[in-house]
Amino acid sequence: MKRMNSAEDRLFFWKDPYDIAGSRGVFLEAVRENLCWHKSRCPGYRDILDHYGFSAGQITGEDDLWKIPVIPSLYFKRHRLYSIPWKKVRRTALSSGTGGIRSQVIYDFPSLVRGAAMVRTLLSWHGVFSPIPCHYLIMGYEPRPREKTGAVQTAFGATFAAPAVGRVYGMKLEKGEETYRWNIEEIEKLLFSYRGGRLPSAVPLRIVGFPAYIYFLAKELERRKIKLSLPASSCILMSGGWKTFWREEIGLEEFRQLIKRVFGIPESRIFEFYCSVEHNILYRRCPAGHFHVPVYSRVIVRQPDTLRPAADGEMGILSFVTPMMTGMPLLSIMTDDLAVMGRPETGTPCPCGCRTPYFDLAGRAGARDIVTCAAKAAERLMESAGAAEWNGGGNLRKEGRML
Amino acid sequence: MSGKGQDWKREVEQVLEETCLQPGEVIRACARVREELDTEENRTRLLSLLTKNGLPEEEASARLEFAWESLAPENLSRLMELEFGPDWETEFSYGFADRWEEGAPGCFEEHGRRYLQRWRPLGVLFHIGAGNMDGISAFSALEGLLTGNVNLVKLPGRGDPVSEWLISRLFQTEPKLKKYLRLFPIGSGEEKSMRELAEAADGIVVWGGDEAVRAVRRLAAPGTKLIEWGNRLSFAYLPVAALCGPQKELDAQLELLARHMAETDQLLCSSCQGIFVDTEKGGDLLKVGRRLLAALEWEKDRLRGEKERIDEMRRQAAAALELRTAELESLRERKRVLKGKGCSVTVFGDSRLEVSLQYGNVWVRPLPAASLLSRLRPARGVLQTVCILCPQKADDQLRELFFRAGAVRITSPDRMSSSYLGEPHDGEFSMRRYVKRVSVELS
Repeated sequence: MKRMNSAEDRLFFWKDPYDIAGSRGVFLEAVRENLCWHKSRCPGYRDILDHYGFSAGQITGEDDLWKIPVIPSLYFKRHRLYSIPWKKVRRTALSSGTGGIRSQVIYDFPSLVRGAAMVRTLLSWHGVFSPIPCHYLIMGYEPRPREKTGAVQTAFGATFAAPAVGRVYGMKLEKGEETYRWNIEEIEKLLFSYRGGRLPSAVPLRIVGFPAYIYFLAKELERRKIKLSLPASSCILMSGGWKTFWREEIGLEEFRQLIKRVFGIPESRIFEFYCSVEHNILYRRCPAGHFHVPVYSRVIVRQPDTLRPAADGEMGILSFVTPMMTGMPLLSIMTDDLAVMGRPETGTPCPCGCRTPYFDLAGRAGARDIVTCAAKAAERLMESAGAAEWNGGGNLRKEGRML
Repeated sequence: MSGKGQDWKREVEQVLEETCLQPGEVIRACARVREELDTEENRTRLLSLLTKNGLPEEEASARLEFAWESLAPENLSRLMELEFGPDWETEFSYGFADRWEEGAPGCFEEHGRRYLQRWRPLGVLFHIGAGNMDGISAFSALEGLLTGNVNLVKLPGRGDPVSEWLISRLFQTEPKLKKYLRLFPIGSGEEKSMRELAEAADGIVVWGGDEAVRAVRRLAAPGTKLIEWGNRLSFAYLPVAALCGPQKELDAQLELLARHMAETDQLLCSSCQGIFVDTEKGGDLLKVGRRLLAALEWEKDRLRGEKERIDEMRRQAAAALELRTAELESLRERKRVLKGKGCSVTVFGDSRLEVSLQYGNVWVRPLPAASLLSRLRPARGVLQTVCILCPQKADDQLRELFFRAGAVRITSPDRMSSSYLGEPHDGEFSMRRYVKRVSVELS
């Protein structure tokens, strides 16, 4: 009960999700609070803080945040650091990964509440919520009972932003089995109800999933010269999946044009978010292509050799500070993404009007054993679609047989 | 060129029925390809193809130089001679009955009966090149051609432009070779095509990691010969006598080793991944680690500026994540991370042989002489090169011990990734694996 009015809670219930200046004091207080919480409950984390001689008192301003000992997400794939007893765990989320190197992130109830508040604030801010019932096409996996994979949970969660008439999954769970199959029949049936020429369906369609999947779908529709006329409030909700080799291959503009040509969805109705299992804050990609930082976190792009902040505009390792989680010390973490920082206050303003700092993704660290959901999933999807090899440059080496 | 459809099977059988390929023909074709390689334009082109996929420039040009050298007719002939003896031309030539000569190699007589032995190609070889090594498919196929085999070559998923270029040159200079070499641009996941190719082959040559090798083992029928060129690991060994010997001598050796590691980025099977030190003392390990780090920093600094690319940033970031994780792990495990500029040395308390983080991120581990064999044996299948530092401090007994532990090659620190003509490959004469020894009883 003690934590109901903590700074952490106040931060996550902040009204304007981009009011960084107004929420700064609360943010810093929440960070200090979170650090002390984990230090007193997680001996492994306390050892780390002690090793680097760091304590909450050293956080006096935003410029001190990078000094909080940063833990790579890789570490969580190999070791567990928990700050709550097992009976307090309300939800677990598994990151992607192969051969037992998935990290497991646990949520206690207060963290879930904070996360839900953030999602509600951000999605309504960007106009993702809608009262109009719609069809969902999820270009990803159907959740299993007690699904634990973070990306699957997120995609499923996204299907509650508007009432669902129905949900069609690209990878459908076989009845009573643990295996997935490529759900071509239902996808065709759903999409064909939006084909031009006949009387198209009037129920909006929301396509949810990894960008790589959606790109693949659109590309295949275009190859088959199929154009859909979707109702105006249809949209695309995607996250996570750009973290693969696809990013280098497809330009944002090319993607937007393709979506417009095939689905008739304008770029203002493409919602792309960045989030990860170890850092579950949503970053919306603005029309100018930047991921803006909301009040809930701070982004630090670090130089690889020193782990100190890189200058704005210089490439480095994307890392985050957020006081959202009380189940695990995910206060200061380092992803395997490369990024570049931009700051409208000191540099050029962002044309989208948002004045908070932003980051641009710039590829991934060339780590050998970090495999994201999307990379693996894209492989698997393409395999099951009969096109095993990707040749880059937007062409499949061999004819895809997707639909 | 592509082998889609079923026609190739019939054509392959036809080739086996009709003709036979003599090593001399292949050697002459290679000589002509080599001449073409000698133009500035072609060299630049191949170099750019090699470096495009992340091979360091020095390594790429060294490899091109090596390729150019090995394609020379005198060198190919010498190679044949080393593997099949001075009479290799006779060995592969036609005819049995009139070739028997008392006392000549391959000629036998027992109880009044005469026998003749000869080398003959296995028949059809199915080559599966490694995805991470440009040109390997072409060289694998070349060895198959030299031994007279029909070669079915699966190109790696993302293509192998170096191989494709070399092979197209080869076809241009000697069109006959087209019958003996077929390229199949198919993915490893295309089970059906892979199986068809495997079924048509007498031998399957596979390059690459455990996964590739395992997949091929599943593919091959029991009678098919498997020729595996799997991934190998190499390391340096520091005997206790050298550890306690003159500091200068050790430093000089570490400098050579650091240069080798920086130049190959530790990417090759023969690249040094780390140093095993004949000690149990943490202090000794740290001392070696610090000295090695200093040498590495110097070498990395010397080579800096040559690779200012996004790939370099990605690699650095990957290493940074691993090093930070190791640093955090050192709070609970026996390890210590020594960080330098653009490089690092991680000192471990265990004796595990593993791939380093590469690109100048090295490990140092204890390996007391008394437990050398028992600790290395588990890795016997993957051991390749051992570099003994300060070799004058080592004796032949130590060398024999490494061979018994599973190693196949011992070199000095600067020669770990260099080879000489006729050097066995992973402990084998490679072309001997592509032939069979046949025997004919003469009437």
